[in-house]
Amino acid sequence: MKKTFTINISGIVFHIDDDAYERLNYYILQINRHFGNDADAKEIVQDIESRISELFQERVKDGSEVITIEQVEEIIKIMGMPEAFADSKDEAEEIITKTTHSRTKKLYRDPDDRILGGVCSGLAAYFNIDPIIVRLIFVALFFGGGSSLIIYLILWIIAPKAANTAQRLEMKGEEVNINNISKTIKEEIQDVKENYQNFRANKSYIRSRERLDDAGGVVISVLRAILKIIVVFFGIILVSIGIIALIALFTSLFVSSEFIGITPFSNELPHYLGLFVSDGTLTWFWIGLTLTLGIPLIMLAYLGTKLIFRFESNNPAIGFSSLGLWIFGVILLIFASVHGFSDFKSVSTSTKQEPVVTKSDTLYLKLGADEFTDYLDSNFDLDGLRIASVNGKQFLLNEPRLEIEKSETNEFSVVVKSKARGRDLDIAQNNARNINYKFEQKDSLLTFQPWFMLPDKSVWHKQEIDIVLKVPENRTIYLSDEMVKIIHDIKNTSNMWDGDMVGKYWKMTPEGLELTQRKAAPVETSKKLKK
Amino acid sequence: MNLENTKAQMRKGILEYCILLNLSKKPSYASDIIAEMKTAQMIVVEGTLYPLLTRLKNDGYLGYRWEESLQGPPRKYYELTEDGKLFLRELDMAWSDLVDAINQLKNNNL
Repeated sequence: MKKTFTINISGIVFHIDDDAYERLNYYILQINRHFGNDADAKEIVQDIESRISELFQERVKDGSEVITIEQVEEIIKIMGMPEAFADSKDEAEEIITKTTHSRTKKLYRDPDDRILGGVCSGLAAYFNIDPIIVRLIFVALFFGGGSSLIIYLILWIIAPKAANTAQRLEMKGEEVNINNISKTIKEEIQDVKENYQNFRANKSYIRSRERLDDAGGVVISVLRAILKIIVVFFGIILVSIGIIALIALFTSLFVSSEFIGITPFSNELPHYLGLFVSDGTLTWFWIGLTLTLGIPLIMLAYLGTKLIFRFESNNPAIGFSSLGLWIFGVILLIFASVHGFSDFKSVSTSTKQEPVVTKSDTLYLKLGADEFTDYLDSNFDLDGLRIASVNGKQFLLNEPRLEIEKSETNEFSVVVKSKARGRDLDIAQNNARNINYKFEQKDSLLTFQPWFMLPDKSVWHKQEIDIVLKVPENRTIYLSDEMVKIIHDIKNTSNMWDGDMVGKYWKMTPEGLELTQRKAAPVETSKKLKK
Repeated sequence: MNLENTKAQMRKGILEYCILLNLSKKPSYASDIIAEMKTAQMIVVEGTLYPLLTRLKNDGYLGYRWEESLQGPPRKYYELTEDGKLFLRELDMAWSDLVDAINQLKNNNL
């Protein structure tokens, strides 16, 4: 019992035994190789095929008979091996095509001897070594960094499977030993030598024109040898860069944020991004980024392997689908950015005014204890915006700004204006209200927190806190030294800088804040001082 | 020196001439040419013919047309072009020159 195939040779259908099919297929492949790849060759092969078809027809009378391997052998004998076709004119060219073809060995995946995709056994066949060695290397590399997993997956995708006998033969190739690359190079060098020797031998006999041609031949084969070395070298570089960068990209995205040793902002960027971009946007952003950066790297490694192994991928879909995925990635990035930006479309403020009731004539302003100093990320300072990591959780902090104005009433009061942005007004309003800021009053002592904090799980929306302390006329305030951190451009009659205003008493006059020596200091003194 | 090899080389040299001669009588298709060449013992394996036909066609000495066949795929019928006829005439002359040369050599030797 034998398996049969149905084949079509120049439009005629035949039934053919499995082994007969493989023999015939290999024969046609040999013819194909013999004639090369141009239009002429196609025509010749077509003509030969139709003759084979005719010969089969003579042998299979009623169409239901199956072609056997004996019949195939008979027909091959009639048609002859391609080497016997030698056409006097083309003999010289033929030898050249033959030698280049005999070296052809392609990388295939071996479907007969596989554990996953047959990549290891294919590689083993390519280098003519035992598959178990390749497998051991792959497993060892996998546990030592995992790079082999990426190589395996790439080869699995791009290396074609050896689907038929001819491809299986190509996979194993002709006698190419383990050191395929160096052998190829040696042969090239041999070619160069021979060419050069021919050139030397003929030199004195031939016309200058021919000499020029020969010199050209030498130069071309030298160039070809160099080019092959460069191509393989280049391929190795491409594969290395691609794979190293891929590993770096993936670890930076999913493990830590170091990208090939470069740490933008700080080494916890991925965690920080969550503080600035909302979760949905962030997911799209990561997918987009992975695709736009990862796909070119994969293609780089792909190109490199192609250069090294010189195989033809039998799948044009690889190029298209990766281009498609890349464009998709770019679109995702754009979408995520637009989506991210639209989170800042509207701005809203929320104002809270609280009276500060005190019998004292003077209000002492001081800053609360800075409980975050030790937790701040020293690398991150975005215009006052800081990040504190407490127990593995990150919080966004910013400094509030304090201004001092004249009160319209006879009481001190504190106005806390919180400002934030959002997708629409409601969200912006909500974001503004959610800002966490407190100050404390104890008799005549007013304590401001040095930071305002964004609530847990909320995202940066350009939140700001402006504090306005309203001081009634003829009342005095004292700015303690550390207040320099939050005071912002406070107007005073002596036009003093913020930094110089601390540690001093200031009295509200109709003209504005006026420096006073002590709280009981007479008005004249301060006027003298002004002069 | 291998006798068979020398004979094959001789045949190879005049194979084109033989094909053109064959086609000068009437257009015919590859299998007919093969049959004649085989009876004349000009070729050993059939595959030899196809590259030659294609080359002669590409050089403009042969043209062909497709003809449906009762059994099997459509056939290519080759025929001589004007260039081909001229070329054949030149080859004819070259051949008689060769024959003369050989005869002369033979007679001198005798």
